[in-house]
Formats: sequence, structure tokens, C-alpha cells
Amino acid sequence: MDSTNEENNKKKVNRKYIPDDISISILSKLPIKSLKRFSCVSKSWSLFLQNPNFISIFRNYFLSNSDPLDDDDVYLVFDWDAEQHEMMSFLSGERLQNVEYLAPPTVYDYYRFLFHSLGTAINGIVCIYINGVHEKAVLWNPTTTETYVVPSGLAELRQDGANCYIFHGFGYDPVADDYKIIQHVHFSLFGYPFSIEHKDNTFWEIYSLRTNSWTQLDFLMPTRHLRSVGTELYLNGMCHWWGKTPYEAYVVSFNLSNYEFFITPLDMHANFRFNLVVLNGSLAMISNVKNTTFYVISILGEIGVKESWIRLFEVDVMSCVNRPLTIGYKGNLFFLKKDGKAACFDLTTGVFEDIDSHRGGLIGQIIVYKKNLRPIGGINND
Amino acid sequence: MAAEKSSIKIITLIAADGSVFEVEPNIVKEMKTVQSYIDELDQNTVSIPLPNVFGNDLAMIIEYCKKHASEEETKEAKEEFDFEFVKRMKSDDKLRLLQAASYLNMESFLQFMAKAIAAEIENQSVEFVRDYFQIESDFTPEEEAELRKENEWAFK
Repeated sequence: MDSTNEENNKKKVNRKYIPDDISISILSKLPIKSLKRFSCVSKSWSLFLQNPNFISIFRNYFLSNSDPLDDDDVYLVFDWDAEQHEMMSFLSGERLQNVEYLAPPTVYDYYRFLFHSLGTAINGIVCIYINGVHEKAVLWNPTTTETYVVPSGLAELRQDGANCYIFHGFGYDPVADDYKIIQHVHFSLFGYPFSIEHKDNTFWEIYSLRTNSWTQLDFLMPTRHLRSVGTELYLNGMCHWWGKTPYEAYVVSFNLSNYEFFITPLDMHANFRFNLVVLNGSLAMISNVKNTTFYVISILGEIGVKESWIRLFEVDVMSCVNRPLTIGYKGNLFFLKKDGKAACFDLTTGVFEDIDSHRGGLIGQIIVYKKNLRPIGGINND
Repeated sequence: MAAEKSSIKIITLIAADGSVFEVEPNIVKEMKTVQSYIDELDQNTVSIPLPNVFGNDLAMIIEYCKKHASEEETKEAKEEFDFEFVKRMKSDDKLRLLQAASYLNMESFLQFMAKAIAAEIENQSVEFVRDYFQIESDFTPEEEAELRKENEWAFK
């Protein structure tokens, strides 16, 4: 009796007729790789990625699936005050109304240059340097104000040419439990990057905090685009930057543990402007057709695979926007406006608003920062 | 009107196989399909037939709702419950419960089950997924080969 009942039940719930909305509720929770793989399941499944309704559900889930914020989650902002002095601060609160001023690290004796953070903060540590003026890089924990001056690279020991040094990334090697900096060095009589690179006049070097020394790499890889300053980033053991040729734009991803690198071409023409960002734990790209207010945000499913870019958002913002700064918590997209102030576009609600809490400085860089009391470490830490 | 509603003490749910469940009103709050019944009826006792949900499944859904409606349970205890709840289910159970959640219009339970199924099929093969959902491929072998080639990276 029981078994016939069971069989009857099975017949009534016929699994062959799973409606699309149920399939969508499941598939929208999959990573891109599985999603692409399952496009081979059936014709209707192969069409989901072209379905605006599916994309909308997928990106809503993608945005909602973030860790809750706590009091240690703030923004670290680099900007200028009215006298053109470097200012740094933590911003927090729903409308970024809470400002906590920070004293810049004392290792630099001048403040008339804008500091940059090389990529993102890692365990509370940022690597700051002055763009264009090749000075020492400094590791800095703004929570504890601890600083650590990174020694000069290998090239500076040589005196046989005009050297150009371009920092490409600051990151953490989880295998060696070590912080690392990757830098490109180019000797040139005419200045970077106009002379042709070859093995005799260019090399890459990598700094390890643990050994407090630079090591030369025995291979070359593509350098970053000159306009990419401030958009390089660190994610999951890799440093990422973008570069381009006249025909093609791409992301270079460098593994800090085994020193492998990958090139992922973008699925857009090189005529766009690009910003690399992290969106809820995924590598993402903000692209913008020059001189328009139209921005596309794509996330990358698999490093090295051009076909794994998925266009998630298409955003048309106001014409007062100069360029995107970064993506912050909860899908907040920050823009620099033409007046030098910042504005925020909420990807969830579509609301665009000025950040008026600020003291009127010109924003240079804004990065996601989690306060952390951990010492910078390293063997020569005194 | 509001006073009459609050006077409802017990809701009787009748599953497809005839089994009967008596629950308190706060348990069915998330079941929008049931809730709309209650709102329409002007009675103190309510008996609702659910011809698309079987007794075993309804028992599990009620167990889930009871746990989540409880104010005494901590967030951690509820998460622990969710984990065990999914763990003891077979693939068939999950899919049936997801369909029941859809029929009962239970948004958060539906998302919960969908997430559990997504976790189960993530990184599995196309064949596994077809078998799981009993989907027959409607591609010609050539079409499928072409599509697999296009998405080659996703099969590594």
C-alpha cells in the first residue's frame, strides 16, 4: 500500500516539467564556469545567458551575496586639501558621513605630491608611493600608523642609463606567507615607454618582505597601460593590471607564489577606457566608451579566458562624471566628478548621489579598507 | 476584521495524500499561497487543501518554518539546522521541496532550496545535470559538439 502510494506520488510530481522560473532560481546561484558548462544541457538552458530577466536575477543574487559590514569596514581616501596638501582619511557610515583624519606616514618629507596606494589593502596594509616621482615605496598600516620603508630595487644600484621604474602590484603570497611588490624596470635614453623593449634594456623584479630583498625575474610580460594608475589590484594570490595594444585590451594576472602570468583579452575594443575592480570577490572590469557617460561592468569567470567575461551591468550616468574610482561595499560604484568631488552610484537601487560629507578636497583615490591591528612583519622589522 | 483574524488559533493543512497538519498561524506566514486563503476566509478555523504538496514534504516544510519562526532560537542554531536539514535530503527531495516552495509561494525557503541544489550541481558534468533534472537533450549531436567546443574552457 505504501509503495503504491509512493509510486503515485512520483507520477504526480513529474520532474520533466520544471518551469523556467525554477530553473532560473537555481542557475542564477551558480558560478560562471558551471553556468557556461550547463548551457550545453538543453536548448532552453543555452539561452538563459541571453535572457535579460535571467541576467537581472543573476546580478541581484551576485550583489546580495556579500558579507555583512562591520565597524572595521571603511574607505581609505587619498585627496588634496585646499592648500594642495596631501590628506588621508577613513570614511564610514551609510552616507560616508563619518570622517577620521589620518596623519600621512612621516617617511616622506614633502606632501605636495599625491600618494597612490599600489592596488588594494591587504590585511590592513597598503603600499603607497608617489606616482611619477620615483621615490621609495612604503608599506603602511593606517590603523596602527606603522610604516616600513621598502629598499630600492636592483636597477638603482646601476648607473648606466636613464631608468624608468613602474610599480605594477602589491600583494600577498599565501604559500610563502609573504608580502610582495612587482616592478618593471626599463633603461632608456628617451624615456619610457617609447623605446622598444628587449632583454638588454628591460626586466622585472619582485620584492619579498620576508627576505627584505628584490629578485630579478628571468622573463618578460606585458606592462600596464600608462593610464591604468590606481586601477591595478590584488585578488586571491595574484596581482592584476591592464594593458593594451592599439587593437586589443587585456588583463595581465601575475601569480605571486609561482610567478606564472596569464593574459586575458577583453571582449571589447581597445578604444574603451578601462578600470579593473573587485566586485563581490570577483575580478571585474568597468569599461567606458570614450567621451560618453555609458559604462559596462563585466565580471571574469576564469583567468585567461576571454569568453568567460559576463556583462552584468550597463549603466548610464550623468555627464558630470569624469571617471570611475572603484567599486566599494554593497555594489556601490564610486565616480570622480569633473569638479573633483566624488559621487556614488548604487548598482542595486540605481540611485546616483553626490558624496557631500567630504571637506571639499579633490579625491585622488578611494579604496576599500578593513581596519587591522596586525603588525606589518618581515624579518627586518625594527 | 483584524480582531477576527487574530482569533484564528489553528490552521489545518491537508496534503495531497490526505495527511493532515495542524499548525499555528505564525508558521504559515511565509506560505503566501496559504496566507491568501486565510485572508479571504472569514472564519475562526481554517482548513486548507494543498493538492500539490505531499505529506512527507509538507512535514519537512513545517519543521523548517517552525525553526525559523521561533524567536528563542539563535541565528547560529538556525544555520546549524539549515545545514543538517539539507544534509539529510536526497536530490529528489530537494527538487520536490523546491517545487513545493514555488507552489506555496515561499520566497525565502525557495531561495534556500535553490541554493542547496545549486551547491549540489556546481562543477558537475552536463550528464549529471540532465540526469538530476531528467532533462533530455534537444540538441543534435553536431549542435552539442559545437556548443561544447565554444565553451571548452568551462569543461576543464
